Amino acid sequence: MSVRFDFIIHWLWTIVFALLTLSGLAMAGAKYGWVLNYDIASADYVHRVLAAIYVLLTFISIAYEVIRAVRYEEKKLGWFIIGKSGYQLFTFITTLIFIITGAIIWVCMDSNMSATAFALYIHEKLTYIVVASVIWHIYVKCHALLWPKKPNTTDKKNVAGTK
Amino acid sequence: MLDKKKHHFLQLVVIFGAITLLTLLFAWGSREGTTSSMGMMGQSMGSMMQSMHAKNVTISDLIKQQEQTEMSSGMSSHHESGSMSIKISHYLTTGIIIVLLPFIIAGAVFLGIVWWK
Repeated sequence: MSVRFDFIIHWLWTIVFALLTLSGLAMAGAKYGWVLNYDIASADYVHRVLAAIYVLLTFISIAYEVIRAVRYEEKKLGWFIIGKSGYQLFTFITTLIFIITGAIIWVCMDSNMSATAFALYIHEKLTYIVVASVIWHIYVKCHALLWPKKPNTTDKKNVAGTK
Repeated sequence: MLDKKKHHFLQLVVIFGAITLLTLLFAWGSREGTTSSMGMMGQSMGSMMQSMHAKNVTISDLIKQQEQTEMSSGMSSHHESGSMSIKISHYLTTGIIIVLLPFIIAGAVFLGIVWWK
């Protein structure tokens, strides 16, 4: 069985995002510090290293989509993290906001507290929205948890009925 | 009755629910009596910084560079004493983000135009 590129990117990106969420929440305030036993320094280090991997994976995904667009490939990639509609589009937009606000926090931390505060506020509140949306996403796509995929019996019946 | 198709999701919900509940019980159990007043500490970092630095902020405040404060310069000298591996990972991660960000934005704009058609 061949494992597709979009499938690999999906799960690599999911793992990185999950770890970013945990390390990010640990830094978000005293309320969630228990997530990593109040070890803010480690959370900061892990968050920054994973952020670079997150940016790299997003760059690879965008580059892949750009190449597909140039080649006029219309086939929908079911597992891909970005796309032109639905949850893929939502992920695409939220990822861009995460990366841009994250970069502002990263660069302006010592030079512009207003910009840092503004970006941090958006970065944090967006986290809550995206985490909530992920639960909905898992609910909608829970049929994918059956892996390897079994042949769909209802489809077979429909095909047999049309013959 | 419950939808059979959603059975696996419900299994996940039960497992994660149990983990969350156990963690919360553990956290409350081990921190009994230490809960101080939740005034400022109860706020998240984003809300705290927003109220301290971005309450009456204007667009120009977001763009212009501020003078380095005493505290932040002290912080940077503190970070300079860090180990070599931290320095390397700092330059590597910062490099990746700064270099790739323009390409990501350019790619997003390109895809936005192509997909919009």
